[in-house]
Amino acid sequence: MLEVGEFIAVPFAGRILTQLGATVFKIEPLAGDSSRRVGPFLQEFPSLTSGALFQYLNRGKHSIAVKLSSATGRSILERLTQTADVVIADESLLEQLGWDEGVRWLKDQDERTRAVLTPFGLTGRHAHYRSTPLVSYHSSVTGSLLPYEPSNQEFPDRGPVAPGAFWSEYQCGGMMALPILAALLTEATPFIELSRQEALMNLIRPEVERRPSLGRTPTFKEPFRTSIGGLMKAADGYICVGMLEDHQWQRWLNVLGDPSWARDERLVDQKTRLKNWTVAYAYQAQETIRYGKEDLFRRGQAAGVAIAPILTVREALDGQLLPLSTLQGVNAAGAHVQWPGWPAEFDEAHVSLTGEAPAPFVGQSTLSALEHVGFERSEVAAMHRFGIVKSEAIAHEGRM
Amino acid sequence: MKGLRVLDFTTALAGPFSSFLLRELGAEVIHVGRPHRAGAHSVTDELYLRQINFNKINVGIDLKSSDGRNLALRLCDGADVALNNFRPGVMDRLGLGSNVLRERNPKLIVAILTAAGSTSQDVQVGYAQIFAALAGLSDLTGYEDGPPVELRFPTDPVAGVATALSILVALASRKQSEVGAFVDVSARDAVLWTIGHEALAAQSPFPRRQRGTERNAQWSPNNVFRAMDGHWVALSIDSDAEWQSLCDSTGLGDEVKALGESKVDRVERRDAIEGEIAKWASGVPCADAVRILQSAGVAAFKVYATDDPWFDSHLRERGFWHLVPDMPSEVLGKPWRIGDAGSAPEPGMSGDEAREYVFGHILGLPDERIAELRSNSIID
Repeated sequence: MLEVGEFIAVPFAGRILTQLGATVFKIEPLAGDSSRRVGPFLQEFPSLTSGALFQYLNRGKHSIAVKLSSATGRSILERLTQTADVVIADESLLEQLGWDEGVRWLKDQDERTRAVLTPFGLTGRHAHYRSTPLVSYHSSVTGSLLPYEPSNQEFPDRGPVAPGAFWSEYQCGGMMALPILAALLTEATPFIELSRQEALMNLIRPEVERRPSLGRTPTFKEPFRTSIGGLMKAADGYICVGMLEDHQWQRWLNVLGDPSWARDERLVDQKTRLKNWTVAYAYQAQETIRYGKEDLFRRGQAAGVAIAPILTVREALDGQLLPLSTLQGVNAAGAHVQWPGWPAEFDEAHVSLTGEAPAPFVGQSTLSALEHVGFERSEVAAMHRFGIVKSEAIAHEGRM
Repeated sequence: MKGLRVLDFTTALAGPFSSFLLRELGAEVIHVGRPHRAGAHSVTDELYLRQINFNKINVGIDLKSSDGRNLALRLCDGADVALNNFRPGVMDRLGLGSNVLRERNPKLIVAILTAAGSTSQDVQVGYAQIFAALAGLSDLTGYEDGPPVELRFPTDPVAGVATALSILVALASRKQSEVGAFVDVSARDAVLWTIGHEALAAQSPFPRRQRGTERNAQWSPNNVFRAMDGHWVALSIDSDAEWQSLCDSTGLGDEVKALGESKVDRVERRDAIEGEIAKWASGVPCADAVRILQSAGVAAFKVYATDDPWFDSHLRERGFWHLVPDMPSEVLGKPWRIGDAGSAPEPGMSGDEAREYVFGHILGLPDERIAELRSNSIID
């Protein structure tokens, strides 16, 4: 499989296929994927392979560094493609080949599965709009709905926020992997087009589609409420709780020590509670602050209330409150670390979970991959000198 | 995925979304809801259920009755995948547990999606905000100097995507082994999987505060700004050339331009720079701001609310909206487009047509028996 994509979305789709046993060649610019320069790093002296983001997304892949905008670079891409079953790409491929030419070329490679992800799709008046993860995220509607209470009360003048950790880019990659896997299963070789805007909007399709029947436009200041509860302070952090049904509310009151405000007539049933959501919220927040988050979590869950402590990623990994079953130990950039494996357990099917090889240096496999498709070593060395490819092996020779 | 049959016993959003996606990949999905409520969750409304199930074959079966259970068992005998998102143990108590189903149909893939894995004793109940809280995503989201943020809508579908992917993995394995599998998906683990680098970052000897995507990015400025009409515009700058274009197109002036000549400068002076852009944005209507910035090659877009996609000419030109039977208004297209097929969602079935197909055609029940089951409220 060839992967020509920057940062997170396409590399995450590539990672999923790596986990399933594909041999993935990552075609990077000579300077390397931009994710290589994103910290924090796992070593004291940052390098192009030791960033947490790059490590997580690129373990087990092979790196070929090529300047695709050059004629020679283009012919390298063509030869590599002849050996591939799948080509996945984002707008960085189209920008290097020229947008229309790149699309035409991809569509012509009809003996293999091809998938291309761009911010707004290949057609339509916004097709050539510039984008970034933040801009694409906000084109997809979810952005207008965050943050809820208490952030929107504490900071009434501020704007909407995006989920942390470039969440939306990962979602684009996950969406991209689905039709690719389906194509591999059915032995079809389709051309697949994805728009970030459309893929992300699909994650919130009921909320977008119900706009006409709702009769108003919900925002992060005035959300559309379906459950009672929210994010509240506990004595030692935060908890969040969501109640869809009356019996859950009754049990939750019990967990909170049956406070007297529960008899407030604005809170008598789920309908009135939803209507008086902020009243209910303020009352609950008075109580939750008196208890520890673990105490509320344990007693709440035991009573059948959907409640959780707000954990840091570190706490989630430690598993003290709740063990994670799919964690895996790996050696990344010289450090022994744990990261999330496949998010499901299988009793029969085998998922290899990570590529065995560590995340590659820029151009680590350029020489071997190009030799494999018929280039001579001397040709690769010349291309390296002319700045058309970067080969770790040739550079190493030069240093000797 | 034509020829693949999925028996879908899911409720709420995360589970039904995974089978929604499998249907969009071409599988035949039979969604089994409760009779007369088509799988209704006690408070999720009727429209919600249709929105997430309209592309499936929708029938209702009372799984608590022995006749209903037998119908479900027989349907699973002829299925490739059986999927549910009940609390751990519910399907076993109904006599439809994984062991029972797979003993009858060894090629069956049984998938269950729960908040924290089917063996977790700690989390019995969970919705989107619970998975996000337990995975660390809520803590990473919000204003840098503010509290964490509850994430309601966006994390259910993530669990749905992970479930659909996991089912495809099991199908790939079955192709080799000829045997089915039990697939145990944890929604919480799915969320952590899609922010996985944060797990490594948390173990770095050099961790840093991470709340707020906007401020932890290589882009600067990288934020939302309130336009004159009260709408918000999202904007990010990566390269020096984009910065020059931004300053030139907005008339920010040389003094401001000098603040951010290099990427390092722009990251260091993020607050000052974003303050200047906020001033500019407050004097321009949102649509004009986006047009000015995009014409200058700057990444910018309106922060879309639920009404915007309805009026978006680009999405209309791409044919992203579709009228489908039984839905009160248009629905969105598929998340992907395969070949020349466009984005129209796959058709579904309900009512008489679905009943006749599932109980008459697949199970071979005569009309009188179907009528009897209906009058006994075993099926819809």
